[in-house]
Amino acid sequence: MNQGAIPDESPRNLPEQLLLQDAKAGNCISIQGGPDDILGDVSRLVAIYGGNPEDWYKITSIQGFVINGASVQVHWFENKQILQQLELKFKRQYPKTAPKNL
Amino acid sequence: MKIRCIAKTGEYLPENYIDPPRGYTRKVELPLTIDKEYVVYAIREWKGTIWYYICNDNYSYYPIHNPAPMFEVVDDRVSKYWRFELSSNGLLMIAFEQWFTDPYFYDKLTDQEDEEVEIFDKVKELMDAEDFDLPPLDVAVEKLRETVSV
Repeated sequence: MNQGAIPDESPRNLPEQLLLQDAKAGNCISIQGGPDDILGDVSRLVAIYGGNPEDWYKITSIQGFVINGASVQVHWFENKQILQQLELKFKRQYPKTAPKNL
Repeated sequence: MKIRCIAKTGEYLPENYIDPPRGYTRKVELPLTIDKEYVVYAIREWKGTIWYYICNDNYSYYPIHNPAPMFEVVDDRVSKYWRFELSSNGLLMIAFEQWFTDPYFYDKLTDQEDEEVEIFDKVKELMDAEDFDLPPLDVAVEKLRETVSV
């Protein structure tokens, strides 16, 4: 896994910016993290940003927009004690092309 | 195993599921459709709360946990692909094999790593099409005895 800090990714367009705003306004839930589901990245996060391992969560936007043909969500890491939201990434999933039966 | 959505907002959740750090507040509204059925790909139990990993209405490449009280079970037959793990911290997890063989499988899957996304694609395809039809007990045991006696 990556050992350094990962910079925030910027939205590429207005819909992604709106998705990010919506998520950061509270329309988000955790995917993983907390005391029962420690993140694989937690050692790196604690080493770089501090906090306790059980306070780190991976968060996703609840909304998932289809933007330019891709299903887009926004993810980030969040520490609930020191209230940091870090390493924001846009996850763009494009539809798979159907296999060709030649 | 299949479940049917009966609620999608936090106001229907029992108190022990309300967990603001995870985003589960009374106001949360999850991307689910009332009365829609969802295949369960994994189950997590932690301190009396049960969470179903399903592909919700915003599914793109990974299943996500949802609170059990928002669903009713409509098909209680369990997947033959499931494995069981009880961790020393009391976490109970039921999921497909690859979830456990790599302790970072779900981390990598949610990070959209190609290999894990492809694995879940395959698991999803198999579990979505899983055939649960079994012969009646008498027929099944008769067939087994015939096989054993040969």
